[in-house]
Amino acid sequence: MLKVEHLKKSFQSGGSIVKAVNDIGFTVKTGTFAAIVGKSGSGKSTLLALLGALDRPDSGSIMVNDTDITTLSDRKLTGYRRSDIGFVFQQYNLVPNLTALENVMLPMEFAGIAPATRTLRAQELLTQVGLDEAKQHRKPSRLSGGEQQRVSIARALANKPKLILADEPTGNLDSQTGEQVFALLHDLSRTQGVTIIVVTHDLGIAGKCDEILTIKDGMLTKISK
Amino acid sequence: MSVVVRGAKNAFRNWLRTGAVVLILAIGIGLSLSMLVAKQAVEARMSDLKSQVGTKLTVNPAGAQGMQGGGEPLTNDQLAAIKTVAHVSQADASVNFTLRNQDSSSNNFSFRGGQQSDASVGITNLQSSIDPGTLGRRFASSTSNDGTAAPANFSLPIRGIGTNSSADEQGNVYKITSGRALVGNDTTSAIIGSDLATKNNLKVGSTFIAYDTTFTVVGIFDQGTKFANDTIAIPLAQAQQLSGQTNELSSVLVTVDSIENLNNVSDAIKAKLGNGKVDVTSSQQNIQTAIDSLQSVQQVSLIGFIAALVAAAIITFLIMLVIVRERRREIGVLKAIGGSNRTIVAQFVVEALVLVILATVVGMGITLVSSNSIANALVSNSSTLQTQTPMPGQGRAQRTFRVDASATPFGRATSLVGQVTASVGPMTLLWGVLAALGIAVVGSAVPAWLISRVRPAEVMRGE
Repeated sequence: MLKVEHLKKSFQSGGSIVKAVNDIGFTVKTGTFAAIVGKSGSGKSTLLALLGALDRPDSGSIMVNDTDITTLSDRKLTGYRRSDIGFVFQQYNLVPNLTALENVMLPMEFAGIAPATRTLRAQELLTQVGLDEAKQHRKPSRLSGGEQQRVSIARALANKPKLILADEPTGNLDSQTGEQVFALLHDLSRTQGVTIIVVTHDLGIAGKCDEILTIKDGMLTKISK
Repeated sequence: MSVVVRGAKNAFRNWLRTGAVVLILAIGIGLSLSMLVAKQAVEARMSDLKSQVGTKLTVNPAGAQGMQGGGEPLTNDQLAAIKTVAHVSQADASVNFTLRNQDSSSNNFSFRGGQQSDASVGITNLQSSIDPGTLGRRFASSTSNDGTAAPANFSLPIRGIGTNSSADEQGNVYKITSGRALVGNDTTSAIIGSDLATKNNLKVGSTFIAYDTTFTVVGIFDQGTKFANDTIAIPLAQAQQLSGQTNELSSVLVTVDSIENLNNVSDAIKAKLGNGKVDVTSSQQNIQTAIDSLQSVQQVSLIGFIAALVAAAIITFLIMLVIVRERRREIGVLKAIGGSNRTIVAQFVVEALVLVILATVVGMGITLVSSNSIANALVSNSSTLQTQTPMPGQGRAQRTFRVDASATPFGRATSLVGQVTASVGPMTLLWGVLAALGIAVVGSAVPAWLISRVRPAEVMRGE
């Protein structure tokens, strides 16, 4: 269960204060595939960063299974990101000099999992997202955008997180590949019971989600199912 | 893959840049190590020079040296006074005397043996081992009572020294090749030079006559020169009494506790015995100039070492700052997927360590090739500067002129400095590696730590 209450985050920009997230509150049940939609600059990426403990809110609370992550220390937040959260980025953000397999193994290394175990799990995850063995040993520069995003999804799943946060996961992909990646995420939420929150401006993709949170000027204007 | 392997792999992300970084750092580290090696080489040379100068001073009556010159002889009281001067650890007195061969003295040729009084010249049955030759005959004629030429059977006088020391009046320890040195309770014992012993068929236990006294040879020494090996040494009191120089001393060899106190002790002795009454000499002056010259090189080397090390550290810092800033997004992603600040800093430190260790290896090569040249260039330059002497009465802009180095005390100092041999020893290697590790850790940890504190949300905002 993810419960957000009175969440606020402002930035100083050119002498004026921009309220990127302005008193937002919502609840997402475990295993839900939710989409956050809104125009560029509406605050959806900032909201995602707050949910993923990549930034701290000015006020409000984010309850993840009865724990308010806004009150956790930096060290505990690192542990939260490592164990409970998986990130999927629009630009994939894979480490360029590591192979696909090594990229997926990285979060497991941070979690202290034994090398043999993490290799096995990384291979399983990459196979699960549809990357064949030959490509698993390629560096990101030798993979297509769709393949890189699949690696990114496998990396997000590495430590069996409760919540996956995806920021425009199909934004850099052609429509066919984008649909495949979206289908993969959707399938994961159904088969593994992972809560997935996707930021997108593609209403077609958003329409296939369990819940749609619409944001405008930092405020939640609509929750539709 | 561990953080170490990942850090090491990161060092080779861009081969061209890695090569350039390693080369730049290698020059810095190589220069730094060369300076360190030069400093150590100069220190070793200084230590060598200091060991050469020793801590000896020779006190002679003013205007006299050996058996030549004039003035008043030193006395036992003055010896006692010298021993009370601060920092004097030992003072050994000696008295010189001359022995004439009884056959030479039987002819009418009256040879005084320099300006020493006839009373101090003794008769002996020994014959000098040195062939008079042209120099000996010329010297004998010039110092004879009536200026007559030396006869054909002329034999050179034998130089004697009365001493209770185990060293001659120059401070050179008698190298006994047979028998023993003189000891405290000896009276009619003598040690003689090896050439004199051979000439007169003397061995340990043999006897000879001097001043109508029979002496027993207790030791034979070899001082390495024909002149020194034609001398005899007998106990000081015996020599003073027999040569009519009771309470008189020809010279005192003073041992000072450290080289740094030589000048002070010299001044103190002059003050205590009366200025103008004694000449105090040492070979320190030239060597001190050489040491001063080397000290300036040592300081330049030390400053160069520190400056090059700081430069290498700054280069490392700036390079790592650029690398870290370039990978700002990657750092944010690593943090987003659970990487701790410590892990991220460690990764960059390992990367810098790999670069710096590679640079150190190359820098060692540069050091091996260049250290000797750098050390000698510094020494040569410094010695040249030392030979530039102020010229009185000239304008400020023209106050120096170059002089013939070999004709001046500074020139002698320059020759004393000589060649400095620089070598890369294990300690230098250790210092080099430690310095390199320090550079790597400081140069990488600081920028990595600063950047790792950035919140990973900035990556998301960049999307």
